Amino acid sequence: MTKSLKILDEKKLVSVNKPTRYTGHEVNQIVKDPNTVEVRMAFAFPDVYDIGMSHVGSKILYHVVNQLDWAAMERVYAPWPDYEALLRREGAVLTTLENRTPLSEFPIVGITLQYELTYSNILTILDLGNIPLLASERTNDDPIVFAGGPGAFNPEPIADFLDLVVLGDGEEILPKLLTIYRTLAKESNGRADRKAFLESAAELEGVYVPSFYEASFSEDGTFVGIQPHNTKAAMPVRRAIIKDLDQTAYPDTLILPYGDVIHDRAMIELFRGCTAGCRFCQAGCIYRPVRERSLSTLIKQAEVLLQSTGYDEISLISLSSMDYSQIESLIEHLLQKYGCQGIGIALPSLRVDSFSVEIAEKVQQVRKSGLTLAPEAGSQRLRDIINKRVTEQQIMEAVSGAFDGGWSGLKLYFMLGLPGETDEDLVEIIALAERIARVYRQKKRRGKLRISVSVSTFVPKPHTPFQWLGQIPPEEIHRKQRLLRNLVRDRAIELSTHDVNTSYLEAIFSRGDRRLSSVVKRAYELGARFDGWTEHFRFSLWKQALEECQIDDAKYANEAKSLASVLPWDHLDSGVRKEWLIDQWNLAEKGIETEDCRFGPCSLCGVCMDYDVRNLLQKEEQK
Amino acid sequence: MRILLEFTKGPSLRWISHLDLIKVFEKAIRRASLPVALSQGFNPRPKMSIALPLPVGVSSEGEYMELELAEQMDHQELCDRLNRQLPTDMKIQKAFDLSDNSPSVMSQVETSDYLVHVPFADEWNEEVANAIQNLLLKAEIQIQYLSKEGRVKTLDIRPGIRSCAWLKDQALIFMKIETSSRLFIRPQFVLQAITEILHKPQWSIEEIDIHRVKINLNPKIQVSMQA
Repeated sequence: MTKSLKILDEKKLVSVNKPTRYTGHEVNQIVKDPNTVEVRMAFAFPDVYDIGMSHVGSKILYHVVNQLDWAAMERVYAPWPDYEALLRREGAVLTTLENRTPLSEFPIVGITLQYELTYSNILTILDLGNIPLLASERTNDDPIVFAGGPGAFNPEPIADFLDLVVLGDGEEILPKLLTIYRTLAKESNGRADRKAFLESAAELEGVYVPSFYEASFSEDGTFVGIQPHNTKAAMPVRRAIIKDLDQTAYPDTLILPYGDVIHDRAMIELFRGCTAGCRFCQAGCIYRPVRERSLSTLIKQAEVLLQSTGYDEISLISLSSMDYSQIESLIEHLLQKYGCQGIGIALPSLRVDSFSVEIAEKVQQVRKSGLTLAPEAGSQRLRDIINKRVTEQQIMEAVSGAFDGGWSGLKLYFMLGLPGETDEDLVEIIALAERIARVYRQKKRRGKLRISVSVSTFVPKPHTPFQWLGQIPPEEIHRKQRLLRNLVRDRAIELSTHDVNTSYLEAIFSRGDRRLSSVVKRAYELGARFDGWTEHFRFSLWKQALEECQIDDAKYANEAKSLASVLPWDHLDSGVRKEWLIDQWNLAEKGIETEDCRFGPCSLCGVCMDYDVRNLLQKEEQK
Repeated sequence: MRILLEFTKGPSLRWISHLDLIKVFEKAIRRASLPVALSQGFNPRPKMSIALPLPVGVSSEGEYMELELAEQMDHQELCDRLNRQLPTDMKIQKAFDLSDNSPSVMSQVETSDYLVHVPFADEWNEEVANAIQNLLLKAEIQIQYLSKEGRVKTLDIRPGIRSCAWLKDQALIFMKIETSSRLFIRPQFVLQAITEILHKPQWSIEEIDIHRVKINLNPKIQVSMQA
C-alpha cells in the first residue's frame, strides 16, 4: 500500500459512455466512513453496471454485510472498454462506487461467478484494481479474493486467481467469514495473516480454498484427480445451505441505479431451489431443496421495498415462480393492494401450462408485458429425455389461453444439441411453432401474429445428469442451425440462434479444470473482454490463447467422459449425490421421467439426508 | 394545480442524464407519497416536466420543474417531503404556484447564466479579459459546430450572448446566453469563440467545468408565479 495510487479525475468521465456506471451517488446506496468500520469488503460483479445492478444475489449480500455496524461492503463493476481505456490512459486505478477506494486497499474483494463468459472481466477488475492476478503472487498486503455464486461449483478454470470460494448460499456464511477476518485483524493490528485466515475459514462448511488442493494430470493431459495437502482442507467440500429462507435477511431497500439497467424494478425472492428436475439444468441441482418464504414475509417485503424505492413494478423471482405454493394468494394480494396505484407485477419464469398463462393474464391488466414459454425441446421424446415434463397438450392449452388473453406475440425457448437429439427433433421445433401459429389463426384475431423462436445451444454443466456429455462439435451446431433456418416457412415465425463460438467457449470452461487458468490469463493479456457481448467477443484471441497454452479445446468441449472417470469438480459437493446423477442419466437414456419431489415421491438425490434439510413449502399457512 | 419547483443538481450528480433525472423525480415523488396528478394512459406517470434539460457533466443551482398536484399542498411541506427523498447534492429550493392559464414553463425559458472554469485562464488573465471584451464588440460571431447528426453547421451566436465577463478573482468566465427554443447557445460555443480570438487551441471538454447558475424565465411567468 506504499505505492500511491492515482484516482481518476471525474472530469475525464465526459468522454465515456454512461458515466453514471462509475460514479455511484445513487439513492439508497450505503456509504460508510472507512474509519468507522473494522472490515471493508469490495463486491465485484464481473460484468457491466447495467447487468450487475439487476442481480438480486448481490443486493442480498450488500444488505447482509452493511447491516453489520463493524463491516462495510462497497460495489464495483467491470469497466466497459471505453472506461478501461480511460483508466489505462490516465494510469488510474479501479475504485469502488461508494468511497472511490482502490480495490487493492480493501482487505477482502468478493467476486460473483454468474457465467463463464465473465472470466476475462474478472482479470480486468483485479488488474485495474491493482491486485496481483495470481493468488500465489499475493502477499499479506494484497486483498484476499473471494468468489461465490453458481459458478463456484466448478471454479477450477479460474482457481489460480481465487483465494477462497464459497459454495452455496452466501448470506449466512459471509458474515461468519468476515467475523473470522475481524478477529485475526484485531490480533495482528492491521491486516489479518493470509494463511491463518484461509486455514481458519477452510474449517467452515461451504468454504473451498483452491491453493490447499493439488490437481494431478496424466501424461496426455487428462485430469486424474485432486487432493488436499492442508489438514484444514475438507474433502469433499460441502455446500453452505440455509435451511429456512424465511428466517434469513432480505434487503429492506434497493439501490436505485441510473441508466438503462436490465431489470430496474423491485424484486422479492419467493423461494430458492427447484426440484422440477430438468436434467440439463444446473440451478435445479445446486440449489436443492426448495425453500419457500412465507406469504406474510413476502407481503411485508414487497410493501417495505416498494415504499423505500418508489418502483412501479415488482418482480417475483425464483427458479420457477409459478410453483410457489401460495402464488395465487400472493398475486391476488399484490394486485389488490398495488394494482390501483399502477404498480405492475413481473413474472420472469412462467411454466408451460394454462395455469401460468391465466396468472400472467391477470397480472398484465396492470402493466402489459411479453409472454415467454420454454418448452426446451420440440418433440415429446426429447422432452422426456431432459425431464421437462411438459406435454404437447399443455403447450397447446397454454398458447391457446395466451391468444384468448390478448397476446398476439409469443417467445419460445428451445435448445439444440441435447443428448439423443436427431434432426427429426429439430423439425419438431419448427412444426410445434407452426401448430401454435395455426391455433392463433383459427381464432381469427385481428393482431398480427409473431412467434419468436429462440434456439440456444446446449452446454453440459457440472453437477447435472448431463455432466459427462460433451457439447456437439461446432460444425454440427452450424449444420443444425442451418437446418432449422431452412425449415422456417411461416412468416410469423422468427428464428434466432446463438453464436456458435460463444457456446463453444462456454462448453470448454463449463467442464474445465485448473489447466485453463493459464488460458484465461493469456486471453486477457491478448485483449479478451466482455466475451458474453457480441460486439466485444473475439474468439480468435481465445483460439490463440488455447493454442499457446497447448490446450486441446475440442477435448474439453466435445469429449464425453465415462461415468467412472474422476471429474474436475468431484471434490465439490453440490448436495446431490453422484449416484443420483448417474441414475438420472440412465433414466434419460431410456426416456423415463422423474417426478418433482415436491409433489411426488423422493427420487433420492440425497441433499435432504446428507444436509439435514427438506423441501420447505408454505401450503399450510393461512392467508 | 400547477407548481413550479426550483432545484439544484450538485457537482456529484452532474453525470446523471436528463432522462435519469426524471426517473429520480418520479420515484422520489412516489416515495414521498405526494398527491400528484397522473398522466392518462396504460402506464400512468406523475405529470411533470423539466424546464431545460441539463447536459451530462454540468451542475446547476437553479433548475426549474413543473409539477401538477391533484390536491393542494403546503409549499414548505412539499419541499421538505421531496427533499428527504432526493439524492444528497440535490435540493428543492422553492416552490411557487403557477396559474392554470400560465404557459408551460418549458416554453418560457429565455436565457441561462453560466459560470465556466477553464484551464490556464489564470496564466492568460489579461488575454482572456481582452478576448471577452473583443468578443462583445463584434457584430456577428460565426461559429461552426457538429450537429447531433454529425453535420457541420454554422451559427451566428452574437445575438444570443447577452453578457459575458471574466471574473478575475475566481478565475471564472460568466456568461448569460440565450437558451430558448428560438436560439439555443451552448456555453461551449462561446468558449470556442473566445479561444479563436486568443489564437489558442480550443479547451478540451475534459478540462472545463460548466456550472449553470440560473435559468431566466420570461418575466410574464414570473408574475404569475407570485400570484
